[in-house]
Amino acid sequence: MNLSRRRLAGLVVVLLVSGAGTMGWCKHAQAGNARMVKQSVLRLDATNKEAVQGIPDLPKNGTVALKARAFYQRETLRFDIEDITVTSTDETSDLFTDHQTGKDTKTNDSAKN
Amino acid sequence: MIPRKTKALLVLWAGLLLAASPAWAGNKRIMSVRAAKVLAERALIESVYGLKVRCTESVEDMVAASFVGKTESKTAGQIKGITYDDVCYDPQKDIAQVTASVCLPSITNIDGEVIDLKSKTFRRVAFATSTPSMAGPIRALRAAELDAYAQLVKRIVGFTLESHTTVENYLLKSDSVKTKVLATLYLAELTSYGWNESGDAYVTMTLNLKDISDMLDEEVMEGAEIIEVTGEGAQEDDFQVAKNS
Repeated sequence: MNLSRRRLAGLVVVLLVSGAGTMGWCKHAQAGNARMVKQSVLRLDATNKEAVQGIPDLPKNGTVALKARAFYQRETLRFDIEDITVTSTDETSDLFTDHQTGKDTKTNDSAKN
Repeated sequence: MIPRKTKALLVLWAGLLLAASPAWAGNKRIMSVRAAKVLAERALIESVYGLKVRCTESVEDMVAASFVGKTESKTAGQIKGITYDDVCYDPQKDIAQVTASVCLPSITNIDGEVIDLKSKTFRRVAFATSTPSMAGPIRALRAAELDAYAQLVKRIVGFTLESHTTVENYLLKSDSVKTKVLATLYLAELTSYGWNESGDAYVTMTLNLKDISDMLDEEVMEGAEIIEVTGEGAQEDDFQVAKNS
């Protein structure tokens, strides 16, 4: 009986110490600027995707280079696109030849929001 | 048990220690309090007169290690009538806290505009220490303030976005994203601040657009009355540690 009590007490002590250690480690892991940097990266990505998704006639495959002025209007982020280059790399079919990789580039006004 | 000579020496040593410590603490206290007053003055100038904020952020291929974020602030103005409402000093940590306030009928702000402040009282708090090892929380708080300023500027003025994006099967992949803004900001008020359990600082700043519109006699931002942001600042650079590992 005495031994089991001792064991129980020992187990409690071990659990308490390991728990405190884990909490201390977690606390340390949360501190610092890495979490803030990750949040900023996600925010930048979301902002960019919001701007690009607003562009009409996006190609299935291609690239978009844009410069826009972003501003808030009634709590909503709006984009005033100043410069844009959309390059399509979609495969286009030609009736007389085999499938080819076509390139179609749109710039400025044609693709503005 | 202890020889008399040793006892006498111990008493003498304790006496010297007691006599010396108040003098040492006094000097530190004065330096720390003075520094906190200067920082509180700067905070008030930033709030009332205004400041220039330049903020740039960039990331490549969504890899956090490539993220570069920089916020700079600059101000230089004259203000008179500052009073220090609250001066506290923690001798254990050597940290001074000063709350400064100013009440002015009008001011010519950073943009050269004369603003009718309607004798509103502006209040800002600042902390300082003369012990470098204790400066971590204070630096984190300043970083949080700058973050809040940058967020306010982005909300009011907006920002420039430059990016390169790849579209693959109608899915977007951000290759490079860059944002930048340079603007002046004034009449920002600090409403709350603190440190979380891990030691990272936070500040809440507000811009009462209704009051500012009344002061400037023009609408500042369509469809908003109060803008509130929360800035964050860290004591530890674990991002650089992770980047280098």
